[in-house]
Parts: sequence; C-alpha cells; structure tokens
Amino acid sequence: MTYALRRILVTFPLLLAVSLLVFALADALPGDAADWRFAKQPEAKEQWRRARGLDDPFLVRWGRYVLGFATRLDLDRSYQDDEPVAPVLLRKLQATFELTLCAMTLGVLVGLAVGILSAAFPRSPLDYLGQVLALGGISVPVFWLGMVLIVIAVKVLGFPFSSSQYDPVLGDRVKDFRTQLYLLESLARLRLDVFASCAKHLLLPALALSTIPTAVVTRMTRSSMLEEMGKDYATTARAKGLRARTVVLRHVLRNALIPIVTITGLQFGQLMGGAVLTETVFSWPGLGRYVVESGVRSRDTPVIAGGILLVATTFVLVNLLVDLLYAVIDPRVREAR
Amino acid sequence: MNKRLRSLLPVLPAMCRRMAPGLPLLLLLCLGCGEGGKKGAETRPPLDVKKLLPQAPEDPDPQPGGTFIWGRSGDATLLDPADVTDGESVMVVTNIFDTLVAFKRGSTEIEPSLATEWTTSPDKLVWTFLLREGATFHDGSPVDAEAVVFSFERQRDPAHPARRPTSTFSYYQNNFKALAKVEAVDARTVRFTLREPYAPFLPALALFNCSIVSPKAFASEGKDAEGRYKYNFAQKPVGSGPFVFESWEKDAHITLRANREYWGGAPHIGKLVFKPVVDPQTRLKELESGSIHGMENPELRDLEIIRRNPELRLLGSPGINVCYLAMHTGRKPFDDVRVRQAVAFAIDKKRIIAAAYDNMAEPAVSMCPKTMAGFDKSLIDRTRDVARAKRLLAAAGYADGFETSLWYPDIQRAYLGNPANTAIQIQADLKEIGIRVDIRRMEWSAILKATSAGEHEMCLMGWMADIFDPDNFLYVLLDRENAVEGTANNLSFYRGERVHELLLEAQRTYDWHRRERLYKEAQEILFEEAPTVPIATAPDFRALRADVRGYTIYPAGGEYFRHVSFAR
Repeated sequence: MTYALRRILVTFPLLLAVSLLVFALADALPGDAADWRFAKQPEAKEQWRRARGLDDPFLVRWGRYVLGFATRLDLDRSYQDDEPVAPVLLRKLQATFELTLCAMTLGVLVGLAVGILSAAFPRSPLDYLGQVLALGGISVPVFWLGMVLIVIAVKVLGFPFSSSQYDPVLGDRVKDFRTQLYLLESLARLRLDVFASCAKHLLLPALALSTIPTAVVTRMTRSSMLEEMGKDYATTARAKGLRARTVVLRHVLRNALIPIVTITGLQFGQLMGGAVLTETVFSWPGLGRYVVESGVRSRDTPVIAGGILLVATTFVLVNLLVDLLYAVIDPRVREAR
Repeated sequence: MNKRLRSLLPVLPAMCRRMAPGLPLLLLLCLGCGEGGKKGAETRPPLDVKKLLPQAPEDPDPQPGGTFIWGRSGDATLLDPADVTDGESVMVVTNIFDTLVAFKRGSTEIEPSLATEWTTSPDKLVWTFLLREGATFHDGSPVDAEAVVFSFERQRDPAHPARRPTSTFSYYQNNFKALAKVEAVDARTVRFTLREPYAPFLPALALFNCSIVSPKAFASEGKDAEGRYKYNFAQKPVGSGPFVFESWEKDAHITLRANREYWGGAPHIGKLVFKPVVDPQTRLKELESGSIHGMENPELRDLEIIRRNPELRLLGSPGINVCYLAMHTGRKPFDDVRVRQAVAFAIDKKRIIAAAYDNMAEPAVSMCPKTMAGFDKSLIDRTRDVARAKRLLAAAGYADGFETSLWYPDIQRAYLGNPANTAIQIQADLKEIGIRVDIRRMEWSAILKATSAGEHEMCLMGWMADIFDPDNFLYVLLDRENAVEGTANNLSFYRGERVHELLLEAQRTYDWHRRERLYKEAQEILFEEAPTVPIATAPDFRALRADVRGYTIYPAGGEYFRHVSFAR
C-alpha cells in the first residue's frame, strides 16, 4: 500500500518538472505563428501579445499554464484561431491511444507467444525463425512497411484501402459518439456497421505499428525466459516431476514477466508519441500528426507545448501503472522497505 | 563446395517445405514493389502537359446524389474566408461562400454572382452594385446590402466585433488600400468608394476574402466582455454558397452538404468531403481503390501511372505562377546591371526544368507569366551564352568572378517542384562563369522573414497570383513601394523610377489596351535591367476517378464542386 502511495506521490513533482521543460522549450522556439500572421502588422501584433499576456515574466506564464492545466485541463489558446487547444488535443490523444492500444495488444500477444515458444525450444528452427522475424521487426522502418502494406492491400489483395479512422460517409452515424475511441465505443454501443468500418481502417496501421513492440516483446520474453529456465528452481521443479509445460507457464513465465511488463510499458509510452510516422502514412488523425501539422508546421506554440505535455503525461501515467503492476506480479516489491 | 555446405544439401528440401507458407508473402512483396518497374516497356508517347484537358467530361443529365470525397495534402487551418491564407482552407471556403462577382467556370474571366449588375461613376471612383434577389444564407437570413457592408467593414475596422484577436485579414490589407468606404444605399444596392482609380478592383472582388458572410450567424451567440462576437465563425462558417458546412473533424475530414436552395441551382452531389491524406503515395492508393474520388498534387513521377490506369483520369492546366531567382540590387555586386545580366545569360532554364520539374514546366521570360493577360509576347528570352556572361562580368570588374550565396526554401510549392535541385542547377550554371555560390536551404517561414527584410544576396522564390491582373505580379514583385525592408515582396529591392511610374499609371488606368502598352514597356525595362531571372511556370495537375463528371480546374485557385456528379 505504502509502495503504491509513494509511487503515486512521486508522479506529481515529475509532471511539474516535465511541464517546466516543455514550456521552456516551446518558449525558446524562434518565431511563432503570430510572427507569421502579423508579419506586416507590427502594432496589431503588439496589442495581441499584451492581450494574451505574452510579455509577462517566464515564471508567471509558466505558473499560469500549469495552474490552468491542473485545474481546468486548459492548455492555452491557439495562435492561429484563438481557440482553446486542449479539447482538440485530447480528442487526438484518444485516436492515438486507440491505435497504440491495438498495436500493443497485437504486439504483446504475438510477442509473448513467439518468445515463449522460442525459449521453450531454443536453437530449433522455430527459435531461429522467431529471432529473424524479431530482428526484422526492429530493423524495418515503419513508414516503409506501411507503404508496402498499402501496396499489397490495394494491388494484390484488392482490399478497399482507405486511410484515416473511419469512413467519412459514416459521418451522421458517429455524430452521437462521445469519444474519439471509435472502435471501442462502437463495440460498447453494439454499432456493428461503425465497428466494421473502424476495424477495416485500423487493421493496416495497427499491423504496421505493432512490428516494433512485437519484436521487442519477443526478444525480451525469450531472453528473460531463458534466464529463468536456467535457474535452480526450474531444474528442481522439473526434477520433482512437473511437466515441462507447467514449469514454463506457471513458474518461469511469472518470474520472467517483470522485465516484459517494464518493456511493454515503455513501448506503449513511446508509441503514443512515436506513432507519428504511422499516423502520417495512414493519415490517422492522431496526436503526433496533429502536433506536427498544426503545431510545428505553422509554429503554433500552444499546440506544440500542449501536445508534448499530453504525451509526456501519458508516458508518466503508463509507467506509474507499470510500477503498480510490479506489485501485483511480484509480492516482494510490495514488501520491500 | 566445402564439406559443411554439402552436409546441408539433404536438409534443403525440408527447409523449403518449412518455408513454403512464407513464399506467397515473399512473392506478394516482389509484385507489390514491381509496379514502377514496368516503365519504358510501353511504347506510348511521353506525357505532354499541353495535351492534358483541364476538365472531366460533362454529363448532359447528371445523376443526383452521392458523396464526393476529395483527397488533399493537408487540413484547413481556418474557415473564415476573409482570414484564410493557405490553399487547403481556400478550397473549402470557395464552396461555402459567394462573392459579389465570380470567376467564370474554369476561367479567370469575371461574371456576375451575388451582384447581378454594376455601374461605375465617370471618374471610376464610385462603384455601385445591385444585389441578386432571393439569395439567402444557410441560416435563412437574406443576403442584403447590410451583409455586404458587414463583410467588408469587419476587415477594415480594427474595432469591429466580428474580428478575432488573431484576425489579420491580410488579403484585404494588401488588395484594398484604395478602398475608402462601403455603404448600403438600400436593401439591394451597395456603393464602394475608392480613394484613387484602381484597375484591378473588379478582379479583386472575386477573391475568396471578399466572400459575403452571414451577420446573423456572428450575432447568434452574443458578445463577450470585450465586445467581440462569441460565435466562432472560423470553425462553423455560414455563407450563401452551393454547399452548407456540416462538420469538421480536424485532420480527418470536413463535410459539407448540398445547399438545395442555392440560387444558382443545387449541386448534383449530396455531400462533399475534404479528406486530408498527407502522403501523396497513400493518396494515390486511396484513389486507385476508390475510397477517394479525386485528389490534388499527384507527384510528378506518378503522372504516367495515373494516365495509364483506365480507372483514373489525369487533368492538367497551365499554371498562373512564376518561380524566379532574385538578386538583391541594393548589395554589391548585384547593384551593377552587367553582373545581373551575366547571371541571366549563364542560367540554363531548360536544364533546370529537366532537373527540378521532370520537364513538366514552361520556361519563364517575364515575371508576368505567359498564362496571364498582359504578358509581353514580343519578349525573346536570352539564349544561354557563357562567353558573353564572362565578358559582362569582366566589364563590371569581376573577371575572376566572386563569391555569393543563394537561399532557397525547404518545401515544395506549386511553382517550385524541387527547390534543392533548382538551386544546385543554378549553382552549377554560375560556376561556369566564375561565380561561386554557397547554396543554403532555409525553413519556409524563416526564408520569408529573412528575404522580406532584405538579408539575402540571392534567393529562390515564387509567386502565385491572388488577383488575376498583371499588377499582382509586376507591381507586387518589382515596384519600389513593395521594397520596404521587413515587409518586402520585391525581393530584388529593385527601385527603378521609370518602372515605378509605369506600374502606378497602369494601376490607375482602366483602358486595357493602354494598360497593356504600359506593362509591355515595364517588362522590357525589367528584362534589360534583370533584377530577377524568371525561371519557370509550373502547371497544375489533378487526378480523378474516371466516373467523375463535371469537374473543372479553376486557374484562379480554389476548388469548385457544384457541377460535379458521378456517371450513371
């Protein structure tokens, strides 16, 4: 209990530090959307800066920013259209979350299965095949794989490929959806037409995005399992007459899980921010792509800062969850200190 | 073969059997990647841009209904027609709004739109427009003279409630300096008063920033503490055009539905969707599989693939733009006309067009493109002459050449297919006459800022017309009034007195033949003085599904989908 509490408390100063870093970086960016918009109207720009409080001291602005985020989930207003950026960013975060969740699920399931099989039959053709695939998965650039998947889908399989999250023709039928987790929400609402469209749109990007987590989880599972299988308790269990399957799945796997869970958490956090290539190739309306296109490309500083802060926050929260999971998996963590 | 390898032999068949399930995948990979490899196998003649049509065939009896999805390279930023500056936003607003006068279908000629007729005072300072009867906004309110005044006043008056803190209305600021006031004479009559004669006034009124917006929509949510309207018009635009705004999911799609009550006749399609598909390859694959029906900016290397696909149609139209090299005439050695002429003689436009435009562009002679009325047809371009260029340099005292720098933008533009290749080619051309050029790639907003402040020696830049008038090229890009450091569009900072006189006179002259003569003289001087070297004019391309009917490229920019339908 104290472990969980301690772990949760540490999160707050961490997030504060993250926000300071993000805010300082965004502040240090040379030139912004307003420079560009007001290029030929310097007085109008001065007036706008004053109205927005952009000439206040750095710490005052940062304080206002953090307070706004902590109390109202406010991430300032866009320099392009003066609208609050948080609502759009949060929707985009959901879209990225859905894509990442599916890719990770796929990655963990396949990675665990291949990893366990590889470790159970080391140096067999199965093991080699698994390792080659894992190495390939890490080495292949996601955007290239994305393009190849599209070409295969369209040219060879005649798959009616469409990018984005769902078919725009569905427009009216998703009007009442509350979140941008269209796949999950349509399933929860049992709206199978929407679900089918979303699943079709999600398939290729999730497949492309899952290669790296699949590979990482495979390799981690294999090495972690092999290490555990070499330990005395595993040999003892075998010597006592337990079946190999029981030893592997009941005893070794549980002990091998900690590094696997760690790497899964890290991967998940990484994909939330790093899905931008996949999102670009498949025109997925996710956070990374939004930050690049509406933030970086047009120098809309609040979009950049808000987007990075949201990704960082998600990363921190996912890792908090992972740490809490340790305690569930391994009682020793709970009782330590 | 060594022993180890031989021992493997008996295992090979077994290995093959084990790998068999993987083979189809491998085969698929090869097939998938091979599509580009068929090039050259066919004997069809190479693509000739000039033979491409700018429109899809027309259906005499168009089929009503259907959702038309347009694939494009990015999402809109705003949908307030007066405040947009990027093409992706413009193509949406041109379907939601009407202007007083409009471009004829597929042309740059002006025709009546919300205004049915207009008269001008003898001194051409007062323009009176009579509004169309029965035109209404999508919210049901009438398009009356008050709405027209509102639409212009909010762009002029910094304290107007229908302005957002980020509004800049830069097109209005640039194009309507001569406009003194706009008044409603009666419900259907509007009067514009100019400070001085301004020949491009009518074409300027056809521009998207002159869209007539609904005052009722602005007022619908009341005002905030600072007296501004709360209604976010840039996200929920209300106009009187052929399509009604329905929804906008950022980065995913903007959906419009047909305006059944449109005064000019309802559109054929039921819904119009703008879908951003960032990657041009993904965009093309979507077009091939039919999940979008048309797309902008296909990659030059894909044009042949599109043309060969019977399910697709490739459209093309000569663009109205110019890519040019600007030399800062206020700096040494470019203050010497002989040096500038030497540069002009050294540059090989044909090679640049091959290297940077896949031979799909036209060499430019004047800063006013050939595709624009007012272009001086008597101009004959310099043929490349290295010896003469060297003589000119020697005469100017640079027999051994000199060192200079060339800045170019890091992104593609319609007029600049491959900025890096263009810059490299210029560097190579100038090296032959002894000018050693340090080329530097710059981020887009940075190069705009630095060049308009005059910090460059040479820069590579381009221009697309806003208003369809030679004034928009020659006055904007070469008049000394636009050579103010910090806000300059005249990036050569050329300050020629005679050219200035000619351009101002042309601006104040309404007689086209007289204007044409003035522009001819100005272009001849500019050609001799060579403050810039015009390089190329690039065409516009679109790709459509073959069953799309009634689509036309508008050379003026923007996209118009009222006449589009699907084949029966």
